[in-house]
Amino acid sequence: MLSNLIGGLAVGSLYGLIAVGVALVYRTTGLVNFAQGELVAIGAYAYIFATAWGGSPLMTMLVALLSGMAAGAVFFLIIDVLLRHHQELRKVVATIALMTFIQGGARLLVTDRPQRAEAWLFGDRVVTVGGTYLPSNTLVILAVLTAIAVGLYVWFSRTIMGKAMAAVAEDPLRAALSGIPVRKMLLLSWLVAGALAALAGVLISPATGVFPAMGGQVFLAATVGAVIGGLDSIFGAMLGGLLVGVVQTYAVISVGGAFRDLIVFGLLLAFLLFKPSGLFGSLRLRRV
Amino acid sequence: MRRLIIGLAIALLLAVATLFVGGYLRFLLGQLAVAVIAVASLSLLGNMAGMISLASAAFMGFGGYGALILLTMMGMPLVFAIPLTLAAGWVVGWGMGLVAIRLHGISLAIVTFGFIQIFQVFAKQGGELSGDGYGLVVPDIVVPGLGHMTQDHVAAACVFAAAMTVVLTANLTKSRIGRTWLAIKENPIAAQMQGVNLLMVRSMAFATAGAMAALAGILQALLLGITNPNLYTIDTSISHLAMMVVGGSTGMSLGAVLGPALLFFLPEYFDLGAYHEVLFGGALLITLVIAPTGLVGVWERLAALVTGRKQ
Repeated sequence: MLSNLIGGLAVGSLYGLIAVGVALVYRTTGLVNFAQGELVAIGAYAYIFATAWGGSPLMTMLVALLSGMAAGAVFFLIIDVLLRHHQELRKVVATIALMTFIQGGARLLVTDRPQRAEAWLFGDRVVTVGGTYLPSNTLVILAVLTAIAVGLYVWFSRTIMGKAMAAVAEDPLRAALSGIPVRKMLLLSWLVAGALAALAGVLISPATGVFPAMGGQVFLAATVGAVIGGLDSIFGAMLGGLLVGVVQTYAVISVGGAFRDLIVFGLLLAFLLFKPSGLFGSLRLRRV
Repeated sequence: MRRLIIGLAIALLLAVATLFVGGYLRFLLGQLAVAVIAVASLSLLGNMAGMISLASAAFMGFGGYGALILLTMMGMPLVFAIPLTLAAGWVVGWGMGLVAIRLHGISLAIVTFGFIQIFQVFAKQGGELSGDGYGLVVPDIVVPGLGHMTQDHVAAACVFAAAMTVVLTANLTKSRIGRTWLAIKENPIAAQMQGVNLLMVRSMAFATAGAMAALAGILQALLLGITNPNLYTIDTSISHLAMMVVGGSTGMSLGAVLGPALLFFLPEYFDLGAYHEVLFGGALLITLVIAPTGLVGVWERLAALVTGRKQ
């Protein structure tokens, strides 16, 4: 029983990390990045390649995070520089294009078959807590999520940069008038989104294996998490992700795997139709 | 009316011409025609009503599975199975439109993305109705006057249907309904002030697009002889989206032919199957960045340059 809950929370933590990236990008650019899942895959691939090269845990994690950030920077270049004057929906189409381009590219460069990944830091060790066996990776995931949550909280509430970013999310024009470099803040939100997605990629890879479409599987769940949280709330996204993870786990246990996606989709529809501002959103989500 | 008659004549001519080209090419032309119908349905939503849908593959699947269920399990003749499936596609599209009316453009894209996953659940776990996850097979169909239906007949029918779709959507653009859709795309609030019933019009757009995509699905299933979950994935929807944007978005239905011709027919003809996704994604990105109005827009600009006229 306990292991189910912890397993669900671990999956949810990963969704939460990805959802925070979705929310960060949404807050600053007004877009839902459909290629967020591909940032996860890029992180996971960077991680297994770095591991194959024989890097230390610190090195492999660093390589993964940097790859995620580099990809985030490319997304920024395409969407917020090249396409900056375009309508929102065209930018969304651009993220969809990036999604299929990266997936297809991965299929060409490496195989379509899932590749095995070693769990980060502790490998396959198992920990016993009160009579239940837990993979150490699960505990690493929960610890990482906690650390990230605290880090984001401190960043947004205590540092000038975090406050500047919140200001840009609130009102780009007035933020620019008060001397905040809006463009740099946009870049920063893409970098953080890339890093968090890559982190999720490293942590999820032992469970799912690494393959080109791995991001697509988690993207919808993470986005549903972000929608439940309110789409522009960072902590809402994290909690929404956790909730989706737990709901999915219990759905699989009680009604079977086939209905997992149905239940998540039902959650998505219910929130979008009846509570579009989610649990914590400030609701600038227009309903037209 | 005259335009319609000319259109009908051209469609018939093209369909007959299809019967005279070589076997594999004819099969490809049939598939191209299916893609044209699907892209036209997406284009109706995107270019005319200003809504992005990723559900085209799911509606195609609905058409394919729906028609085959009626044909094989209910033993219904083709002449009843096709209209019934189209009507069902229309109703489901209408329901989707009712949901769409309450959503912001981006949320709609997410919901339609999710809709594909749900359809996949049916296609893979639908039990007997979806052939236990392996898909359904087209039965032997006898058409009065034609005898046993072959792939050649279906290919010609596909080409005819695609040509008619292009003609009819072009006509729709110029009609009251098309102008209402355009008004909504340009400015929903202003359109409402002019007395446009947003709920009604948007759900009609979705219903029409749903029926069109279902038609593409029915024809595809008949052409391939099977349905299969892998035919109706998110990648299929994205390929339609890519074809629509690359083809062009100035409201001309020519784009719905140019896009599939470039992105489906050429890669398929030159056997570039492995590069599909990279091609689609790359072409989509390049179009968005350097030619936002697509091939049709490029064509119009070139024409303006040659004739020296300003648009």
